[in-house]
Amino acid sequence: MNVAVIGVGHTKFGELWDQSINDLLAHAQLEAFADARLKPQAIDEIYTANMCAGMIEGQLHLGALAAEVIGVDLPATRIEAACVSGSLALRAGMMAIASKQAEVVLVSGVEKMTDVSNDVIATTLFGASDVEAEKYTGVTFPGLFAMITRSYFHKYGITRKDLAHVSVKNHAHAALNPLAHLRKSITHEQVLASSMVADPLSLLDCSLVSDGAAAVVLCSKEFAEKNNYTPIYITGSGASVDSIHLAARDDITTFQATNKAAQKAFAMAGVTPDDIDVLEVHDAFTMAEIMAVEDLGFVEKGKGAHAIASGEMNLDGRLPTNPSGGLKAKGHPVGATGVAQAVEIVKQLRGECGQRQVDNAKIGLTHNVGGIGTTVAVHIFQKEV
Amino acid sequence: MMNPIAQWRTRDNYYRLQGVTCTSCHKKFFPKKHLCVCGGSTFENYTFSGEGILKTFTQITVSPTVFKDAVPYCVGIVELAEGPRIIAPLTDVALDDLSIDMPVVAVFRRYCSNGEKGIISYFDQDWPAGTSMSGEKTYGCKFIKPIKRVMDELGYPYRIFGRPKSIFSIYNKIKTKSVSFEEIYDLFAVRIVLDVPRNKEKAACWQVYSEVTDVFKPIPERLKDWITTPKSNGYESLHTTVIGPEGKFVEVQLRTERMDEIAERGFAAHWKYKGITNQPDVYDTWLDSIREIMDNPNSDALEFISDFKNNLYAEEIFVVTPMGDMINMPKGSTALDFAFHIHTDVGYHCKAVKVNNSSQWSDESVYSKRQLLD
Repeated sequence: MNVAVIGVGHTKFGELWDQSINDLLAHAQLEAFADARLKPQAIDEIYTANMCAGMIEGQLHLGALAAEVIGVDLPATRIEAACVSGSLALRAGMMAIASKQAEVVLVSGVEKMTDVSNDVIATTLFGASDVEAEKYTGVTFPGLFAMITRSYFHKYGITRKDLAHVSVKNHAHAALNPLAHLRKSITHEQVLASSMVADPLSLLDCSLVSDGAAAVVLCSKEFAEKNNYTPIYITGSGASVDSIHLAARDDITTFQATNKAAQKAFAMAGVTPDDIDVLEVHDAFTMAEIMAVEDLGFVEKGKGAHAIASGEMNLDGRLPTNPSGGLKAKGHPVGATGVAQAVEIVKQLRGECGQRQVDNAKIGLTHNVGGIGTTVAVHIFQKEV
Repeated sequence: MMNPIAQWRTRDNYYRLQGVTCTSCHKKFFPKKHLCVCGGSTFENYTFSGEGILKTFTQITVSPTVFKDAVPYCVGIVELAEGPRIIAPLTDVALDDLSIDMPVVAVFRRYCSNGEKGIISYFDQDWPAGTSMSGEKTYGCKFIKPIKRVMDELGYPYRIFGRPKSIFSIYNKIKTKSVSFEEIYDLFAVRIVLDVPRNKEKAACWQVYSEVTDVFKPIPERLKDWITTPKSNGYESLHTTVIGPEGKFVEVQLRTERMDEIAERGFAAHWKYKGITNQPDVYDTWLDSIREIMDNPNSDALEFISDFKNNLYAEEIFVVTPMGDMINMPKGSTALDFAFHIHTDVGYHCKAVKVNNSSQWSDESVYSKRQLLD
């Protein structure tokens, strides 16, 4: 099932008070059409990812909104799966093409998070967890990840100092990305000195609350060939879920859903972790990136922090991870994130990333997570098939 | 803030730590499940013991508004003794007090309220069990530390730990004394359990009482001595309430390992200690009274149950005969009951009684520690 990406669009991520959710959607989607040299009317279907608008702004029905801003009348569906909404919208778009119900599909993702107080954001993001079983204990979303982090520390003997390398690396990458929310490098000491959010995770261990949108235009291999595109292909897609109630899992230092999604995606693409040249992983927290590179099969379990500290995952390292700056520094408008990861990998494989370009990247991977390792989607992108 | 209907729906889960057990494989779950890992889909309610081990934890410093007043507070994942893991707030502790794999027990706490006239939510939270409260910051530690010092000087082997009040006893107190949850002064209680030989029990407990009340001022009317006169259900313990740091009332329970085992496990545990001394055995007395009830051909079933229950649960009153003998009777007993207790014939011939030297009709309730003459 090879689906081609022929157009990408990506707004600046950040605190965009002068732009509404409609503005962001319009911007990203129209940019993707321009990139694909297509008119909006050329598509057959829209999948739009969004998590929070229903709770933050009271705005539901995002599918219709996405169609409205580009002036088309066709099937348009909103996909919601917390922070993995974007990757599942991408998957839905692929399925529509694979089933031959559509030839060209627009997949977009959008989130507008900075208009409201942190309390509203915290309540909304907690919706990714088992609300009845967990919320009323007073635990927060970072609190849940902090408990995972403590278990991991206990099991593998790493400390906050080891986590900080992730934050430093991703900020350094974001400094090279004009679309990133926080374009500044930070030091190891700054990470360790930042205020505590949920022990042992401090402010600079956590990803950003951002506004932003991203979009891709997908089409069938036949459509791409017929119209002389030089696309990037999505050759593998895997998704899985684990218990939404964190306490129901026996081992919280590994995300089984990441293991399973990765295995499915690698099998579908017919590649192995050794073949991957560049990856974007879901670093909602510094600990999450360490677990991601392990659970995806790139690094032995327990060695992720060391691999990142050694520079292996830097832009010029063996396995450049989060060249965009990741959720940590590029920003995390949750509904947009999965689509934005796809945009970054497509641009890397096309060689359009300027200062943050990974040399000679041919195969890339995105890893997107909803909840606390609850729903995971992995996609593999290839320049040549 | 959970909405009132959700709160009502989950009251057994959060107020009593009730989950389910699969009727096929007996695996237990919290919260409830609809399909078991074994494939079974029929479940029965199961109330967890509340004992568990802390598997991981965090301290929240950036919290939702509703918990702002509690910041910083700790939350953890607890593996219950029966198997499942739960997420629970950790109460009366600071981050430094916590460690992975420490034992905890469930306690009942006020959680939040929805304004002056709104609904107050309560929650099962976890409290570190055993002697592991070693940090400096908590109230429990502030209270226990000076007591530990005098106990170490005394030299008896001992255990000291915070005793969470059970939900049922809090409920009873709120109901019978018409007080609010916050007004229950001994929400915090401490139990000191001594390991001393049987013949030194009483002296040792009183010696500890004397030392503890030198550290914290006692409230005399709250002294309860169930060591000298055990409850007829066998309960033996010396209770006092003292004024702890910050002027808070703290109940202190003093007892020995033997008494603690009987209190915690009931009379079954008592067999172990039988025959060690020649003292009249409360267990035998209790068993005799049960036999007596069962042998009585005149009593009907309801009366039997009510007598039996009185023996098990009722609060006690102590009545002193003119000869100075102290007799335990259930609360609400009348002078006539007392007369029958002395001898059936005394009961049949009783017309009036003298309570504390004044006449009283024989069917009025008597009060504890009054002297009766017939």
